[in-house]
This record gives sequence, structure tokens and C-alpha cells, in this order.
Amino acid sequence: MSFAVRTEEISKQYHIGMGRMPNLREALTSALSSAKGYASRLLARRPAEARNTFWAVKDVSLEIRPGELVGLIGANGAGKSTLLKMLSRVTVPTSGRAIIRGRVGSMLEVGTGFHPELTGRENIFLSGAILGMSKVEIRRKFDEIVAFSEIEKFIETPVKHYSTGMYLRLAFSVAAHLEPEVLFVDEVLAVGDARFFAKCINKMRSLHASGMTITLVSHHMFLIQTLCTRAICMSRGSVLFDGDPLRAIDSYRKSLDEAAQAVPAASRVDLKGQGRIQVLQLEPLGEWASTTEPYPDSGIKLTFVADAEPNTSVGFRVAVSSMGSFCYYAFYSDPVQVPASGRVTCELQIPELMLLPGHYRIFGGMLRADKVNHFLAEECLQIFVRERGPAPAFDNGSGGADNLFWNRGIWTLPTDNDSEKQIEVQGERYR
Amino acid sequence: MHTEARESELDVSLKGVTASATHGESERLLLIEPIKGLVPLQLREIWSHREVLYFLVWRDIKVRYKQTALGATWAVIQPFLTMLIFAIFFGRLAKVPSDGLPYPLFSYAALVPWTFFATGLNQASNSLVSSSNLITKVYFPRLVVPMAAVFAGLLDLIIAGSLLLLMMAYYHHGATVHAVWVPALVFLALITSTGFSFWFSALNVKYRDIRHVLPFIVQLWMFATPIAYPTSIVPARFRAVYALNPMAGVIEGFRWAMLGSGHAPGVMLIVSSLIAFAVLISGAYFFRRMETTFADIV
Repeated sequence: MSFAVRTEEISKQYHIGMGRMPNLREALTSALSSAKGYASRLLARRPAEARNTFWAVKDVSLEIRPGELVGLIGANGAGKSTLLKMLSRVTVPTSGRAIIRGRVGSMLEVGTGFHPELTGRENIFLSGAILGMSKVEIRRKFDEIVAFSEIEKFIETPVKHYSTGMYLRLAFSVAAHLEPEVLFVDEVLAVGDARFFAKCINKMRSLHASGMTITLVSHHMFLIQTLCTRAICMSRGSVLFDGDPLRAIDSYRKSLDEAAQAVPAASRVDLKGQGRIQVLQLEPLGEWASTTEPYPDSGIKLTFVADAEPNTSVGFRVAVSSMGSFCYYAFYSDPVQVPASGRVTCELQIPELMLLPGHYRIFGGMLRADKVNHFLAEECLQIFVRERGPAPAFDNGSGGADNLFWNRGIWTLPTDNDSEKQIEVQGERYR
Repeated sequence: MHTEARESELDVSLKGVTASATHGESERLLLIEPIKGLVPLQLREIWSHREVLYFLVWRDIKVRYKQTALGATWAVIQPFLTMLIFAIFFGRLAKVPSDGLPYPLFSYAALVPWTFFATGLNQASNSLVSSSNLITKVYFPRLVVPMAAVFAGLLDLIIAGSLLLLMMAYYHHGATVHAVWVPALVFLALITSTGFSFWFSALNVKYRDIRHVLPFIVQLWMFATPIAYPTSIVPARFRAVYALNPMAGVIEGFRWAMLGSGHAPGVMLIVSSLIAFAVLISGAYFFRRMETTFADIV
């Protein structure tokens, strides 16, 4: 099988406090004491000192096939950017190696090579050349770049007078018009407003469609889910998961969650006052067996018990959220008077989860009814929504992952040819 | 099958070679590996990035005079004012000999190539640090950065040189046929400046002390170069050592070529050229060796 990018146990070691290299005085002192020492200090990579070093990337071996659009995810410091920097030849690996087939382009930053004193036009040429385009190529694509960035009127204005949005748009446009065979993108897509963001995403899609091999780092899970054909989750310099984007996102969220759960409940600032809530039961609604692995269209029934101060008024909230902090939906109850026993039992039915396959969290919370967001107690459950049956025949390969929700729809399809054509036309316009 | 063969070929032929690209008929392979030992210069790669060099030079020139009231006049002001000061203190007051030429002409003819050399060296030595945003974000041969800073001075040199022609006209001093040597001498000044810039810019990434030391070095260097005085006043026994300064040959040569003063400094120029090329080549290798750490420590 042919590859576009192959890494073989590639690793990068950094010295902690890289900035504190020996200064000239120290180097000169050692020069006086030993000429050989001076030479080796200057020329040789100093021997690795185990205490003052760490591996930003450690033994990463992977293969990316031509035409793949791979997402690279992971918490800050997981080694994503270092890996891209090595593959872009900005920094040299400490050990291991990589082979790349084809012309390489990289967007590790928005506005590489931009100079504030120069005009938009001048910066297009400067940045374009630094990113690897020839003068002829830039001239050919100039109008396209300007049109994409939507700053036609200001093209002769020095970029220091641009708004941040204009600057980022122009900078992104230059980089997006590179035509390498292998492209590395580091967290630069989320520039400009929502509309320009959508434009950037579409640009990525069309580059991918043209056959370019793209590897992109993003913290934007929705983007990874909708754009990528494959995702790699990194943690502490090594690969945690490599494969289906949805699963990679799950593994990323779990790795984040592990860190999040280390925070003890007592130090949670959103829980105020005394109170306890406990989920007694999570039952299936309808004919499915497992309570923790429902299907997208499954229903569930939650029963929980709460302890609160007698004769106060409380409300309940159940929220369904992603493994991160994105809340899909929440249910609020009417206020309930706490009886003298101090114990309330209640039940919530969700007839259809409408969730896409993946990991989710369900929060059961109790609030004071007379105060906004005054949580008395909260408990969290985890569920995993399973896939039901194979993906549709004409699926784009992302497993229906272009979406945020699952929902039920009922089609009535025409049978004669004329009306079929009409639908195609509509689809085109819609897109 | 075809690609299979290519891959195994790569394994054999690229082993131990650093980040090199092989050009196939339709594809090229890039190997990224840790660097050990002597790093090859990759001159072909620099050639293939000549447009980056061009645009960096173009940027430096554009930016230098944007928002300055006097614009390109600055290229002339610096050597001209220095010449005035020299003419007053060395020419008038100290009566320094000037090989039979009017002193202002004598010193200005030396200050033109010297300013080019010194400005280039200064700019280039800081060039890597000031383009850290490029070095940490995009790959291109780093040698291009100090080269661009030196090359950008060529325009100033031409402007300052035009004033020299005006001064020659003012003093009714005709040019000689030796002027055909001027481009070669400028080239030698360029080589010298670039060679030392490779050393200083690479060192400056690691030891920022260079930035503070350099202006002082340049100042001393100027007095070790026949700018304010002719080589003829240097005692003969020191001449051999004196000639080791490659700029001495350049300045003497430039004065001879433009103004026809003294004799052709043949031996001096040969020594200067040898030293300039030695500094250039050693500097380039040193730079390449240090280059692997630039992005990590700049």
C-alpha cells in the first residue's frame, strides 16, 4: 500500500527551560578551561540530561494514505503541534524518522511572513513566497486569493491598519491557495466570523476532494467529526487512538474526563448548600435490554431520589451533554415542596434520545426553586449510544457523522423520472 | 510494483542523508531524520528557494524606507556625514595623508563599500532573531535569512555610489578604466559580509550577547581598515597581518578602481578573497550545523 506520510518511531525531546542555554560567559569560561569543551558545547547536541528533559513526542509511528483527511486531536501539550512541526521540517526529530511523498505545504500559523508595514497586495506575494509558492503561481492566483479574503477595497492599504478579522482572512486566504500534495494545518481554521469559518471549512473540503492529503490539528470536535475521514488522538506524546473520528473524539473526551474527574466534588463551586441526589435507576423504555448502551432512537427512564431541607421548594434538572461540556438538551421540572421527611423521589422519561452514536453524560441535578442556577446537588452518569444497523448505501464514509443530532424522518419518494430530476436540482441549490 | 522498487531504492540511497528530496519523474520523497555529523550545505535547495530570497530582500528594502520622511536619502546621509566628520578631524586637523587625493573624496570612496559591509553585517546578525516568527512556523533554507539582509544593502550601495560619482565630478576627478573592477570588488564585500553574517547570526540565536558586542567589533574593525587613512601609513612589517582583514583589500581595491589611487592592490586582494571565501564556507557549514536548533531556542 502506498503512503503519503509515514513516521517511524519519530520522537522529539525538549530541554525544560530551553531558553536557558549556556550564555556566552559560561561558554567562554569553558573555552578557557578546555578548548575541546568549548567546541563540543557549541557543536554537539549536549547529552540528554534525564532530569531536565521531556519527550514532547515519543515513538509515534503512523501512516497516512494519499487523499486522507486526518484530524489530530488531544489536550494541550499532547504533542500534536510538535509532530506537525517535525513533519513540516521546522524542527528536527531527536530520533526516528519520517518519509513524505510529494510536495509539502504547511499552515502552522495564520499570517506567516506577514509584515505590518506592507500592503495587502505586497503581503500576498511575500507570504505566498515564504509558504512555498512561486511568483508566477501567486500572480495566477492573486485575484482568487483577494476574492476569497473579501478585502478587495483594502488591498492597497498596509495591513497594520486592518481589523483583526480582515488580517486573519487575508492571511488564511494566502495559505489556503497553496497547492501542495501533502498539507499540514495547525489550528488555524477558526478565523473570522461564523460565515468565514464555514467558508474555510468548505475550502478544506474542496482541497480534500481535489485529492490533497491533509493533516489538521483542531480542538474543534465538531470540525473533526464533520470534516475528517480519520482522526488520531494523542496524549502525552503518543498515539492514544487512531481510526474512526467519532471514536477518536470519544477517547479524547475520556482522556479529558479523567483529568476532570480528579477534581473532588467538595471543591465544585457550582454546588451550593446541603443536599444529596442519587440516581436510583436508569431503565430502558421500550424493547432494548442494556441500560447503558442504548440506540439513537431508544427511550430511557430515570428514577432518582434526593435529600433536601424539609419545607423548602426545589426543582430538578436533567441535562444530556457530550463528554466535553457541550450540553445537547436539558429538562427542568416544576417546583416541588420537600416533605417533612426531607426526601423526594421522582422520575423522568425521555421517549427518544435522538443522540448520535458515542459517549454521553447525563447529569441529574437538584436546584433551589426560588434561585437561578443554585445547584444543591448533582450526579453524573455515563452512557454509550450504539449504532443501529449499517450506514445508508450512499453515505459519504463518515458514518453519518456530519450531524449533531439523530432524528427520525419519514421519506415519501416519487417513482417517475421527471420529479426525480427536480429533486436533484433542489439538492444542488440547497448545497 | 513500480513504487515498491522506488521505496527500497530510497531506503538504500537515502540512509544517513538529512532531509533531502529526490526528484522522481512524477513524485518526490522527503526524508526527515535526526542530524548527525557534518550537515551538507544543500546549495541546490537554496537555489530552488531563490524567490524567497528575492522577496525577503524586497521586503527589507520596502520596509526600510516606508514612513521615513527622507526615504532613500538615508542611504547617502550616513556615509556622507561620516565623511564630513572624518574630513574635519582627520583631513583638516590631523592632516592624515590621502594618497594625493582630496580628503573628502578619499574617505567617501572608502565609506561607500564599508557602509554596505557594516550595515549588512549588523542587519544580518540580528536577522534570525528578528524573524523568529518565520523560523518557528515555516520551512525554507535558513541561510536565506542573513543573505537577504546583506543583499538588501545593495540598493543603498548604488545610491551612495551615485553620490560618489557626483563628488568626483565636483572635484573634476575623472574615472579610470580600472572601474571595470568595481563589480568584482562589490562582490567581494558581499561575500565577506555574508560569510561573517553566517557566523554571527547563528551565534546570536544562541548567545544574544552578540548583539551587544557586534557594534563595538564593527567600530574597531573600521579603524583596522584603511578608511580614514591610506594603507601606505601602516608600517611594512604589519602589512602581512593587516592584509588578513578582508575588508582592507576591498577598500583599497575600491579606491584604486574608482579613483585610480596608488597601485593595484593585487596581493592584498588575493589574500582578502581567500579569507573571505574561507569565512563564507566555514560560516555556511557552521550555520547549517546550528540551524537544527534554531526553531527550538530562538
